[in-house]
Amino acid sequence: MSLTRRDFIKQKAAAAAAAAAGIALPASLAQAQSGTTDGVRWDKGVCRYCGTGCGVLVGVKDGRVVATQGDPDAPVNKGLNCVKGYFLAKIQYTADRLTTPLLRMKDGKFDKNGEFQPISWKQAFDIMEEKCKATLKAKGPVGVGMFGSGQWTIWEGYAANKLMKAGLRSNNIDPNARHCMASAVFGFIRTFGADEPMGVYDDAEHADAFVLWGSNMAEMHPILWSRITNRRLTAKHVKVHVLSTFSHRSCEVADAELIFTPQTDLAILNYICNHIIQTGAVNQDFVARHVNFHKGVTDIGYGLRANHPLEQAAGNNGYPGADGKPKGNPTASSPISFDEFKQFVSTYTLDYTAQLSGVPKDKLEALAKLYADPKTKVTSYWTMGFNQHTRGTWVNNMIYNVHLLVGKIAEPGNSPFSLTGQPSACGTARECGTFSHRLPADMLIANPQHREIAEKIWNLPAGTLRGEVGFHAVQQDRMLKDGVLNFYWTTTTNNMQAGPNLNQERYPGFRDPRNFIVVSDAYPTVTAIAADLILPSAMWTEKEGAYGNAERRGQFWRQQVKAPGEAKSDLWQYLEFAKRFKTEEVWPAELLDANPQYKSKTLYEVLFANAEVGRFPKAEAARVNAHAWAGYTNDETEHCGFYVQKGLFEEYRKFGVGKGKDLGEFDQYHKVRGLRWPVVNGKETLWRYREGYDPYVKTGEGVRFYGKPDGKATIYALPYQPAAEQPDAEYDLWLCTGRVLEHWHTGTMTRRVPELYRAFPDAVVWMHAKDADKRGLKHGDAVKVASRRGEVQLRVNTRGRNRMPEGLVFMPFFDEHRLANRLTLDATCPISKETDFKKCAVKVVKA
Amino acid sequence: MNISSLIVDVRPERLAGVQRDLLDWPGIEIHAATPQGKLIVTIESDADGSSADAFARIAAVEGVMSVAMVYHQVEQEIPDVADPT
Repeated sequence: MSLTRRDFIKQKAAAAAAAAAGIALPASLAQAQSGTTDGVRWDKGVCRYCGTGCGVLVGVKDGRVVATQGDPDAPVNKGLNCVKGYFLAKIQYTADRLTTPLLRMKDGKFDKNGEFQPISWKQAFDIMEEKCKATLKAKGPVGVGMFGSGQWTIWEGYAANKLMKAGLRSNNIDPNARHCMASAVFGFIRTFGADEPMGVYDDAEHADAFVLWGSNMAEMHPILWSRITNRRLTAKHVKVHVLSTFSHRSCEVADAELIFTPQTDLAILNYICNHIIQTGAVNQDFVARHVNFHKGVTDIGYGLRANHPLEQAAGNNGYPGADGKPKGNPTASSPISFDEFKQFVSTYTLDYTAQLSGVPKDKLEALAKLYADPKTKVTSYWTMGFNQHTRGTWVNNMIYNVHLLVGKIAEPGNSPFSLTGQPSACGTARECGTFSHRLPADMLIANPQHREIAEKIWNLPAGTLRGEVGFHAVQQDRMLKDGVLNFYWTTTTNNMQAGPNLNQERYPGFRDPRNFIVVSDAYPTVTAIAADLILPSAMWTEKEGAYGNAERRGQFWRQQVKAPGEAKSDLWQYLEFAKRFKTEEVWPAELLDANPQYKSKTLYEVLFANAEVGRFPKAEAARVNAHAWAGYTNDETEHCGFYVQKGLFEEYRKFGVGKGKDLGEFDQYHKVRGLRWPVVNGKETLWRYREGYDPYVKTGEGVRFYGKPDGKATIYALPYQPAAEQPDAEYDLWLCTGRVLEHWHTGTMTRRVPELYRAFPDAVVWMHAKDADKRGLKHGDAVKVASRRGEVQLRVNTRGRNRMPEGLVFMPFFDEHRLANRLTLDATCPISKETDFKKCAVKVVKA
Repeated sequence: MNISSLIVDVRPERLAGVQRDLLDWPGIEIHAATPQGKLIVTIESDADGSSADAFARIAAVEGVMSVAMVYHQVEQEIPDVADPT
């Protein structure tokens, strides 16, 4: 490398930083910015990691991504990167990329106990077809399932959902977003009748106070956090309050940190409502016009297996009772009056709540006053502390209770805002309806009218879709273990590492000889190596893609480079698999007899290569993207002979148009830095439900929560209840699991980036020094952390970025050699079915 | 070889001292500095991941309030990368 070339790159790097910092460029750097392109082709892209959805510019040279930079034109991040996004150029180029299908074989054929051997794609689809068809014959659609993620691109998730629910007629498809934000979804639906936040990231520049509930944004959403710290540092009156079960980096900027005993967030939220009511701070006009009050059923169990004592004791968990009928319904509620709600929360006094939560009274009161003060605009952010909670749906409902009581919602700076962990948890997992109970645009599989709408859009015979809710994530594990679910395809996620209680509930099902497990991934993850067949996936810029971030912003990117070896996109994999099925093999004879035009067709022809999805010819790819570069195309378009991504997206758009879920037109997204839905007449929406911002709210209405038929949101009376498992004499500590700044979730990508690996190589368990002392431990000692379900060895850390209270330890889950989920309990919120990864009981001893 | 750029926010009264400290380390160059305390810095490092150490070192310098990352380029002898076309 010549000195001049090195200097050139440095100048370009410096120029980009100067531009992002908004400072004038020295003349030499200005020249670098506008000068030669050095053979590097730059194009807009979206970060591969979290739900913030930062824009990145991707630099390609000689068919390889060689550089990335924060996109200065991206409204989300304005040119900045976090440390993970900074090294994005490296994630596609690691020595152990999977480049060919691998099957466990012995003596030249499949053997569950064989070694992985390379095979061709034809052989891979042959064995998948054989195993899937055998399962369908023996068990019907209930025997097959798929697990996907919030990392599916929009068209991948949409195609997978269509293939499973309409093609194979199985509703056993669920995303890993179930582990991540199902509670947020159910909270939104229950309170507002419509999913996803009303606010946007712009709230960060308008709020007078920020409250973090179970969210360490400084590490998990660093770029969004930089917008908050910038607001905090430039507007002197702004306050930041952080609620958590331990002290972390976000607390460093906080004016107040409230460290509470696990699970008592429920009580704190009720105390705030009580304070608001007792001090006369209720926004009476707002409440009268826009709010209904309900009381939810309690005694709803903990989402454990039906034979668990906690479930046998629960009267409203919805599980089959002794008579075979469901025991109540955990989602049920009944109307109450404001006075009844007032009475309900009145027991959550300052004294009671301080005693229960361990938070000093002055801190609780200061927090309540922030929400109560009509002059203070408050934005609340939450992530997994709320969502991964056995009362996760409740706690989401309850933060809305607070905002609704004071009318601080759906306007700049007043915003209850649910953050997301994955790049397209919103855009794909939620909006495409890839959950086992959903269809696109907030529709439900159990609702016959919704199925009819989907069948019409998909041009399928009435009755193609089946109405029973499929297996959710944790139920899939249980059904694999019990031999009910026998053909299982996991894609775009690493659930063996990320899902709960892997020793007892997941690994046995993967290795059970009754089951055939397929895993699509770019790398040999813990999940992949536990499978029977591994399919090599193209990733990120090796395919054309689209993600939707936490503020309803859809963002597209073009395929920049080829995938290595035989790796193919997940979309290609679904399309090819669909070619292996004739309608006669998967649909009932009576359905085809009544609709003979579908006979003898493949699922590929019926679902994908049809008059709707197939209507944009290949040349359309070059036309749509001509502004970026001449002659653009992508691998799937070349393979199918039509612009399949556009065909899928334009069909998918039909679900949301006119329903407040309007997405923009495909072509527009390829030109802009994202659009926030509803996109009406090409124009995005910032604050939903608010006149003047949201085109669905008519003049004079002011605010309308139009997800509900009467336009009113619901405040729910819900109590504090204890966690499913609490420390006792033997397992005497709370365990909380979660993430760290340097690694993204299970570390599949980030642990392969040398800088990030080096920055945080191995998981540790953080512990209070006194707790360590009591066990004869000191900082850096090797310890064994054990729960009733498994044990892990790692080093103890009593100082550093996380500071534990006594009685609680924290362990991240990124490290495949120290699997936190050997320890966790598979208890879920009984409504959302999302696991509580934040609370179980462990003991720690010297290793 | 990696080349990357950063925006470093420094307390203005420490601006000169921070610049001196940074320039003591190999591979670090300062391309611009504003009186308000913004530095535009590039780091040149080996492909072994050592640039992460440089970030940590910069962040730990007294007077540094924040480090924001912007640009990253990997330059290497390009190995036999699969490109089926």
